Amino acid sequence: MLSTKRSGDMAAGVFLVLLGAVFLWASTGIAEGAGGQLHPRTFPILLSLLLLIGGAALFLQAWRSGEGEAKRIEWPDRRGRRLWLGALSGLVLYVGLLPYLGFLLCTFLFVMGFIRYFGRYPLWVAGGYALGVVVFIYLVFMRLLQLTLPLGPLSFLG
Amino acid sequence: MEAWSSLLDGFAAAVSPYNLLFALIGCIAGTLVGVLPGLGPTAAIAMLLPLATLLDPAPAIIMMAAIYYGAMYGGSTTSILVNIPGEASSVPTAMEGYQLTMQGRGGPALGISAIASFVAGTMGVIGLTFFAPVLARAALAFGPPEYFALTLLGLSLVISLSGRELGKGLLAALFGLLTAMIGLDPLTGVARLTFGYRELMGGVEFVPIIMGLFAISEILINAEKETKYIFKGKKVEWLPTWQDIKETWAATGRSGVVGFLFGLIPGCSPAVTSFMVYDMERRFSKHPERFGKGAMDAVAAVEGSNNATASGGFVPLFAFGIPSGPALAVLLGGFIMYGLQPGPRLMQEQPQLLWTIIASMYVGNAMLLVLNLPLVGVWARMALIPFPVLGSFIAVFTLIGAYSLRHSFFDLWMVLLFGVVGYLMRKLGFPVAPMVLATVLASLMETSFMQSLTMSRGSVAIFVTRPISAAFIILAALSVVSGIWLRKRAKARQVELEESDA
Repeated sequence: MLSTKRSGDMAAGVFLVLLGAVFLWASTGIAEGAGGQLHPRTFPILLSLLLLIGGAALFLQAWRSGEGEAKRIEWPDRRGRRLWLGALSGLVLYVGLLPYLGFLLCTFLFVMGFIRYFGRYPLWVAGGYALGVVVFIYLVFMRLLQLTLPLGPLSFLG
Repeated sequence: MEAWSSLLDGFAAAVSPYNLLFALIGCIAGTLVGVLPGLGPTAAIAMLLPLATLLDPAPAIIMMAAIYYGAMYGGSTTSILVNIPGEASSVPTAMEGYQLTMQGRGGPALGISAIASFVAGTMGVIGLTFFAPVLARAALAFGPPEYFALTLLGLSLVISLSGRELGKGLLAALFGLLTAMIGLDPLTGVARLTFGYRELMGGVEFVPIIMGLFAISEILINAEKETKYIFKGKKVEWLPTWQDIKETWAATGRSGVVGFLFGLIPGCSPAVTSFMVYDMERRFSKHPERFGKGAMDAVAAVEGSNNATASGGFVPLFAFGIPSGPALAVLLGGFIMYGLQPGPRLMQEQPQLLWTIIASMYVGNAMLLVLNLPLVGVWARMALIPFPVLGSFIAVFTLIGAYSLRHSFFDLWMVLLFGVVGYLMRKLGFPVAPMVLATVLASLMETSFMQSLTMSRGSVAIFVTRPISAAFIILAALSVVSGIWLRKRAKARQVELEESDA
């Protein structure tokens, strides 16, 4: 599924038509503001329509054209999909846990996990890199540049 | 003649050990801030403003100015080495520079970037020194119709940025424009395309979008391929060769002039200049097919224009007290802190101060070259770091940079979302650059269009009756026509080649 450029373009076209339709629907509900020569929904409606029409054109062009059939999209194999999902899951967990555990803890866990998962490094090596990054963030971002980062349970360091 | 003698007096003050020290601090701070993605010069200047209150006006403003143009030097480092453009103006640098890194030429790319930044930056300061009053008056002629026409000219670049996939490039640009519409309408404050979510009221910042499209999507691509090293060879080149310098000097010179002139226009996004210069070099190039695969002259042009734009931005600030961007607005705050109001009166009452600052910019540019060039080899060796380690670092610094904008977790989710979007765009052959350009231009385009219609009471003739606006619209039309013609010519050549090979 979606293995060729043709099928990919058709799917992208359908997606953009739907996206354009959703934006168009949302645009019609935009309230009128005070003043101004044009209604605030003018540009969103225009752009949504263009996106919808453009998506339809992409779909039709791909459907009629046979040349996209020969070009394959380089999707990952099963192992690649697993690794891709691993990377994305790690990032999602990292961002998801930030409000609770703070940047320093989450960074330590994420870096250590990422290096272990993708590099198969020993735990002490991955932990060493993770600790180094955490120290760097603390000293450079928080102390030197005075950036305020949520720290969760380590808020005493702030 | 007067400018020369004033400049010499300025140099005498600028090279005092005290002022040199703060120029150096500003250069180092600016470079560091530029290297760290997401943290722009605006935040750095604002953070050091309290320290500046302890200093006299001259060293304080010298330091803050050095942070501003120092950040331009630093921004190229992450763009070239790890494909994280910290600002929209660094996107073309990332597009070409990262390809060079993967070829083991990250060091030369960084070196050329530093040299071009120095040359074009110095050209910009020369322009500031001798042409400021005249050019500042011209810059004041820019009103909403001119800004709208400028954004049209910027959008016309979508054609050349789309490469072979013009239709997909236009769709990507449309998607970028729509994304930028999310949030509150800039003129009326009405909520648009928020779908009832409070978080979307603040809109989607373009820095998380850029970081997602470039950095996170790159991590995902390398993750699925189980990449061990970004650069597969063993030896990375450290410094540019004379051949590299010879091939890029013309691009550097052009970018210095164009960058400086566009930097004069208050509110003109540096990204517009970067993309315009990138497109200009592609059109001038005898081998445009190299663009997108690691064109050194493109790196020189874009980075040179960034620094020249920074210098140009000081012209309206010093001449009229009008900041041309957020960083200079904070710098203006620095002036006001000392009871100084930049403008014609300051030029008359405190010329020594202004000329000292201008002279320090020459010195600062030289300092940045001396600071950055030796470090090029060190930075370039980042390409030899195993991807499992480098990828995790890239992810962390990207997300910290995104968080630093508004201290919002929502921005982090946007980084991840656009990371997936960027991944899919790359797989399905949608060019990313048009989307970035459109996202940057959308707000200025809509606002200036609405303001123009208010000025003209609804008549669109205003865009063609004002000469500068009309000139930009004509240029935009020519850009579109020539872009389409060049594409057709390239396609015809491609067909010829395929037929002769068959």
